[in-house]
Amino acid sequence: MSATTLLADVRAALRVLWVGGLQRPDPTLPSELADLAIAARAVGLEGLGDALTTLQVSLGPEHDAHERFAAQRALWVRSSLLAEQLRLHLLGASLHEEAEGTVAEAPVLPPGRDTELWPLGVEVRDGQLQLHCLDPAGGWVTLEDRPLALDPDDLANEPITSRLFQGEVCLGDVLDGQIELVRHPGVATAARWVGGPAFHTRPRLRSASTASPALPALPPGARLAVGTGIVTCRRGPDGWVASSGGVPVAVSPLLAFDLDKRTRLDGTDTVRIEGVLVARGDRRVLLSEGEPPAFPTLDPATTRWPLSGWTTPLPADEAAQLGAMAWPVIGGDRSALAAALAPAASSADLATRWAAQWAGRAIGLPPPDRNPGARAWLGRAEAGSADAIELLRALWLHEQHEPVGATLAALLREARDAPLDDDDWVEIALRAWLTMRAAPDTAVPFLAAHGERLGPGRVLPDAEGLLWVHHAWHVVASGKAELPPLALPRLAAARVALSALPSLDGWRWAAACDALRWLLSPAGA
Amino acid sequence: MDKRTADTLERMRAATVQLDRLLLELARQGLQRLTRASLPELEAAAQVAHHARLTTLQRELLSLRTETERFLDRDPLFRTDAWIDRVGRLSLRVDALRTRLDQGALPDELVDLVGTPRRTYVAVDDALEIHPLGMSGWVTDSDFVGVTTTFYSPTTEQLVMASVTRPTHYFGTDPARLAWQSVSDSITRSMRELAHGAWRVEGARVSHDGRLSLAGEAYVMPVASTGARALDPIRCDDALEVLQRLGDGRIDPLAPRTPPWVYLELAHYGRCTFDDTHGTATVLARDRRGLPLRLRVRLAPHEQLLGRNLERLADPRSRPDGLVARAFADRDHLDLAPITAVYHQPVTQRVGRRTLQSHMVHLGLEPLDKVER
Repeated sequence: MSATTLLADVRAALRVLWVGGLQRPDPTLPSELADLAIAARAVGLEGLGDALTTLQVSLGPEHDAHERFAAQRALWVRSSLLAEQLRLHLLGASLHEEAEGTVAEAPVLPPGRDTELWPLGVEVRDGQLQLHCLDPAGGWVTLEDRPLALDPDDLANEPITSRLFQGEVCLGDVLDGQIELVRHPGVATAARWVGGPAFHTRPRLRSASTASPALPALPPGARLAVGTGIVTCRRGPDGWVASSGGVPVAVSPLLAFDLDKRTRLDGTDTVRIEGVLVARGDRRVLLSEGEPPAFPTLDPATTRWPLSGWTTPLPADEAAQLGAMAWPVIGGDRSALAAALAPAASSADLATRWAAQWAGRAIGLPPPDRNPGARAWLGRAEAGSADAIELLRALWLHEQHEPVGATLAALLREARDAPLDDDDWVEIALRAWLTMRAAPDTAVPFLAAHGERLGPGRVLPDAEGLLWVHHAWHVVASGKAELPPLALPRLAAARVALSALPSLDGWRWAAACDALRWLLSPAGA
Repeated sequence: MDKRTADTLERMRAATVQLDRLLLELARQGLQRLTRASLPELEAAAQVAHHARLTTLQRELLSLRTETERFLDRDPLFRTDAWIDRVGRLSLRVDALRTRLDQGALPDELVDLVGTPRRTYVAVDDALEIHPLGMSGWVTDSDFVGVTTTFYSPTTEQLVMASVTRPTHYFGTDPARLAWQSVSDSITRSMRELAHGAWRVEGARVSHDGRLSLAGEAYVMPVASTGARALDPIRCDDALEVLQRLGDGRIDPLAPRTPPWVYLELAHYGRCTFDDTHGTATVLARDRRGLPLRLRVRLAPHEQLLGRNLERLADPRSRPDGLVARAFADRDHLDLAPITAVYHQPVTQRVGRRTLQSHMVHLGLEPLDKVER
């Protein structure tokens, strides 16, 4: 008896049982179940045989309906599952019978290239990234990517959401290692092989293990090639201009920032860069510089200075302030810095006190015990009409302990009702701060309206102005969550700080806009 | 434990006792001694299950009542085996419920076994990453039109479904138009956008059966698509592996019999044949090993596009590299209900005056005759 027939007979027996009922089962059922149990064991279905026997026994007069119900259910479960498995097995067998061997139209696995690549650099064009590499034969390979999100001010260190790599990657990590392509689709042209985001594969990153092939010099007059070359950068009235072999080289904002830093200390107007270039028609793009390669067109931290180069010419107290502000980035002796700042932090002179306490926050230096000096200063009749910077410092010092009261803030605000110059950012910051304390509901529209003028491409205030606008934003936003964030491009903010160096205003703004790590190299580096 | 939970547990226990007694009585009597008095008993038992928040049991009891009435009416559609199966599953479910209650399970922990009167959504702590598998449209007899997209979430390693629904009186009966509507008040992206991208959902809420709620404070952000890797959880190399998946889902008699999702790269698409009697369109296909499968779709009024697309699968201009489908096992055939055509190279879809590039074409809502490889 086949398993199919057996299971059909078991189902039939269950039907008979259920039609007749457990109270008075069909008298022929026990013998039928016994025969089925023998047949089940004969085909190797021991478990099914046991279930049949159990049900057969339970139909005896000494067993009640509960036992019979449990026994029939166990048989039903086992036979149903067996039938289902058998059905699928037979279906699989019939599929095999109907199989036609390897089908002529079977699609070939997607074609593609298997190779290792050594990255040369990344070119940014209209939101698209072009990752230029060399293959083991020294051939030029370009992998195109259109990231979902990238930070244009720090392409090397901030993760991008890459379609090519199908996830988040850091371009710095990509450029540091090697790339492995597995069946990656692409197009071969006369000059290079170009690939892009693929559906069924993605490039794999590996740590650099072997030396890259040699890269020849860029041929003169080349219009589509990659190679080494020398770039000469000159500072002109409209900014930096670069060329290589008489061909213009693109100067991106990141490259301009790097050139500004290189020439900041020595004041030169010419920089010579030996690096890898890609030729595109009548212009060239710098990819990397030197060996090991640095990427000034991607990484705003390519050029950095040791702190000592800036603290040495400063007076001791200012050097301590700079050391404290830089401490989160480069470390140092925190206790010594705190000790150096402590006397100035308690000074009777508000300007000195403010400068020391401002810097001291970076090393967690707590404000000294309440000094009524700032409160007394604010309470003077002429306080409201004082210089904006002095008033801001006094407010800052006062609010290290408690916010300025609404009444005092209203009085100070009233005293500053002269027409506002839209370019007087220090005054704007001051009025926003006082408005936040005196009439909070009007602070947000006031500051938001001015904040719209701080977007990309606009003329930015100087470092001191930006510092106080930044702090006023913080004061208002901490009380009013609906204030839109300050949309200030980080690179533009960093260039303002750079232009203000070596003054402490510049360093304060660099610390406030998180640009110190683009300017100062870690200790020992 | 609060009084409400304690009361619910008490009602659940009482319901198991009553249902055990009912099923035993049915078995003792047998079919031939059933009378119409059994019908109100089954209805009463369904009410007891309802009040005890045993939704699945309530539905099964009502189904058993319907089958029993068919028997009493000598309806030729009645099948003894199907009736026995219903009683068997009911009995197993009541036993499983009793066991879980004895182990101290609370009502909220029994949802997978006994269902819930009203689906509840639980907030997901982490952001939920989702990758689309397929989008399909539907129209119900209760006059609702909807679009559902099924996603795979590597965050939870399960399938989740998001739907947009509208009354037909207000919106009409064309699901394809609904795919262009905003998903919710807080998410302005359309279901079509969600079905053609990869997303990270913040503030998501998911029900026990994988329904994803995109209302309220949920919002979505695009993430990089993982391409073919998103299909790996449902990928099958050949028809035998599809059969294996079907078998895996049938080990537990109490598990819901939902057809598994599969992704298969077929080697050959045959000619499409139409069966007006059964209202189906069928294509005989073969996998790389030459094993045959049937691609079969129903020709319901809102699924006409699916039938037309089935005809075009063999056309070299729109022939897909793979199909996302749901698998069924007929008596002698392995059937796939295709949902999405997958292309290794992106294809261009012409939608109105726009052209869109994608690796997927959702066959129920997007015409293959507007696709160019």
